Amino acid sequence: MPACLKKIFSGEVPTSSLVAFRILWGLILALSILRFITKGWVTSLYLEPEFFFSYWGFSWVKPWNQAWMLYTHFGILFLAALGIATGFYYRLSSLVFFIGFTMVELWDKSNYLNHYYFISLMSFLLCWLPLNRAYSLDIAWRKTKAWQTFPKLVLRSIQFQIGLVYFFAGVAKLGPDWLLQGQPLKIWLSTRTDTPILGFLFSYPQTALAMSWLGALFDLSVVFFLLWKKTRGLTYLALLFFHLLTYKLFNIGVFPWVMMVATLVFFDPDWPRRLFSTILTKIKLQSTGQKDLIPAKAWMTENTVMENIRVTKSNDKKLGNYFTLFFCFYFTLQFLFPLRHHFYGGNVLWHEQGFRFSWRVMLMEKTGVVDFILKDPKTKRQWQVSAKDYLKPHQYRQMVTQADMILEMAHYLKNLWLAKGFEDIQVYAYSKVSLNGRPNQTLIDPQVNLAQEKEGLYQKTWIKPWQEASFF
Amino acid sequence: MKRKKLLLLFSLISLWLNPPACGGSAGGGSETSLDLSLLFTSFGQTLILPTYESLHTQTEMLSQNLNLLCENLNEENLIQAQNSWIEVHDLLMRSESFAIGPYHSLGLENTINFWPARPTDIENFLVTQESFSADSLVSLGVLARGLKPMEYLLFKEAEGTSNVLEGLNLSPKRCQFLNAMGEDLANQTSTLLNAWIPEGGNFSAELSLAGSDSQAYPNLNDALSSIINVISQSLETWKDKKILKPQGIMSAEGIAQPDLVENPFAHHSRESLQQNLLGLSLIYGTESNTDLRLYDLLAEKNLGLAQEGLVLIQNALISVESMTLPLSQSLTEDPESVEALSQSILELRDFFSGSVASVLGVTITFNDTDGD
Repeated sequence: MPACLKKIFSGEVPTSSLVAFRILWGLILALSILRFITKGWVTSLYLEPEFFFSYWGFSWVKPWNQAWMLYTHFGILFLAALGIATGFYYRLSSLVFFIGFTMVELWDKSNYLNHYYFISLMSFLLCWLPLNRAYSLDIAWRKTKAWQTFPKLVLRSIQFQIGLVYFFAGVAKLGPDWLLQGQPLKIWLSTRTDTPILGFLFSYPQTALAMSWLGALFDLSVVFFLLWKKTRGLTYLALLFFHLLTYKLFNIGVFPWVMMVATLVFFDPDWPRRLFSTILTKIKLQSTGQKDLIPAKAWMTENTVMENIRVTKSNDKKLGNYFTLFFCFYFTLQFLFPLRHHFYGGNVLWHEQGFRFSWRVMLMEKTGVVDFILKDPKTKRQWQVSAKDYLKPHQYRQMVTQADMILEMAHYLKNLWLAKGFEDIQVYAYSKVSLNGRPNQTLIDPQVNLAQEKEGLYQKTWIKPWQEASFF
Repeated sequence: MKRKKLLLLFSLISLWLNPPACGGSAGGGSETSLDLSLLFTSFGQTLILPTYESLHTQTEMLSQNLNLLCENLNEENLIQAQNSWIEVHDLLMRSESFAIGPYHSLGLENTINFWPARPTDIENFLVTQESFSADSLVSLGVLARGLKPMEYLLFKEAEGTSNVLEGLNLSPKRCQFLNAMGEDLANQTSTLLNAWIPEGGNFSAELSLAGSDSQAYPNLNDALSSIINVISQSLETWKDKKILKPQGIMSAEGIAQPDLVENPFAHHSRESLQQNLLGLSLIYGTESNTDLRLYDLLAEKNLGLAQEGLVLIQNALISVESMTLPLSQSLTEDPESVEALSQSILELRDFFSGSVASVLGVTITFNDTDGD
């Protein structure tokens, strides 16, 4: 390994930052699950719909069909999240959470969110990372051997996973809509002029354009500035501002909080210990009536802490090799996967092939309509079917602009009518979609019988090519 | 010093995340932007509220005319009651594309205008119920309430009779049922009006204060979304339920079903669609309207888009006006005119659900949970 890489990946780091990450991450997952349950989404998203949109290859993963089963599933997820936070049966908890949460994500494509994907990936990573080796219930109750340091690779893998999200979110913004037109922010901000303090700015198109550029620059550079000690503090403040702003302006649920917590791993690996030490010292000095007898900064140097904890490196080599292999394979895949849309060509915002699982965050305002036309080839009769009769509003809204979901709906309708006794059924779609404030365009070729088209990773030739149109 | 700066920063963030109730600019706050709260105020004060006032006044008149008819059963009183029903129905149809808020949240959509009417159930009520009153109708449910069952009793001759008056004469309970419906309807339009006026629920203030002091619409975007969604949903209903279903296009049999038109007894379905479109034109506005309307908002975004809307609404109105026969008759005798109307409403649906929603950013961009 080259020396520069060795410096980055080899060695040991204090445990406190990663332990803080484990605790905060577990708690935010637990809160997310609680939020999901208390908002009634378990019922409305997974019990009430009669049809669910599957991911290709995962159509066998379906939600439990009984309320008690669903709530038990989410209850187990909640307990697993607490298990991660406290480090109690940590590996099992991580595995259970990863599988259980990913199942929820796979149940219905309509509910896809980038941050759910991020949570799945991070949960997968945690299954491999030994974050229960310090300050955990596993150590206290299950006699798991405690480590006084973690291999640096553990820290780097988490940082890398987070870094990928920001970096690719930034790369995805390097398009004409975002950079030249300020879309879709221009549309969204113009309806948020009632935002306190900053609202008046949002009626100016220049604000959207400026925010688009700043957003892209932020996403592309934030990880590098967080890694550099000199800029870390200010960058984190900017990150807080950025995420609080998006939380305030857009309905993006727990995503800002997840990222604000997760990015703490970019601080010095012993920041929690130093923080607590500083606080304890201040309290101690104030209670004894002494002030600034010992400079607070004395506690804040890494060397002091490192000396105090007497670093052990016994696990370094063995764990280093093991993780290096895993690290290389996993992250090469992670790096390439978001770029797969290049194989399809065209405008990914339009056809959305390779759109999901690519950190394409907040890139489009898409609305549309779709009507399905069914034809009986035997009698030549045709009739129209409204997908609204079979879908919940949130599913319908997602389907109308996404070609693969329209295809799946077409197959569902075909099967419904075949079950009614028809020998054969053709399904056509009349679809109109508006992207980022442009006039409607036809998304699906109305001449193509969707009942005959197969879902898969190959190019969907029945999606009408994107025609560049001027903005309204 | 550093602590003070931090405190100031956190105070600002807290203030911004949890602004006081009176905080926040209600409008665009910029010379370059139409003040949405003025637009919403205009909708409430100059369109929705006056329409509901008229609706209630006309409904009370309908109730009186039904009373008059039942006290003195004659042709003149019947026609007067029927015309009164048409007035009320037209007003309701006109209000469909701006029926935001209480009309749906109070469930009045069903209790005032549940359709299609079910003659078998209505006749069954006449047999099983000893008497009818506004209160008793509430317990009978939507099949016995509102404009559509009333249409049946007022326009459709009872079985075994040759005209409506004969049926009313033969069975006093029919008249009692009609009277109860009239009273119930007046109560309901009163509830609707009350929900909007300042002395009542004051929903017009909820709309005007969207984005500042409104519980119904905490953000301006919520109010705008609500308005565009009602328009889109209305257009979807007009297209599917009022035209395609009777055309037979929504069923595998593919046969026209004139019985499924909205007003099969009053033969008023074409006029109802016309009123629907007139209502849409009222909320959309024109280049020369004195009150603020959707056109003004869209014209500010793009004049071409705003004018496209005007053309589409005009085309749809021309389509409906050029239909010379009642809709139920046109389905079989003049299908081209129905097809033309259907196409023009489809284009309007695409326009509002696609282009307008996109340019205004009102589609619920994220799903019901949250998004990114």
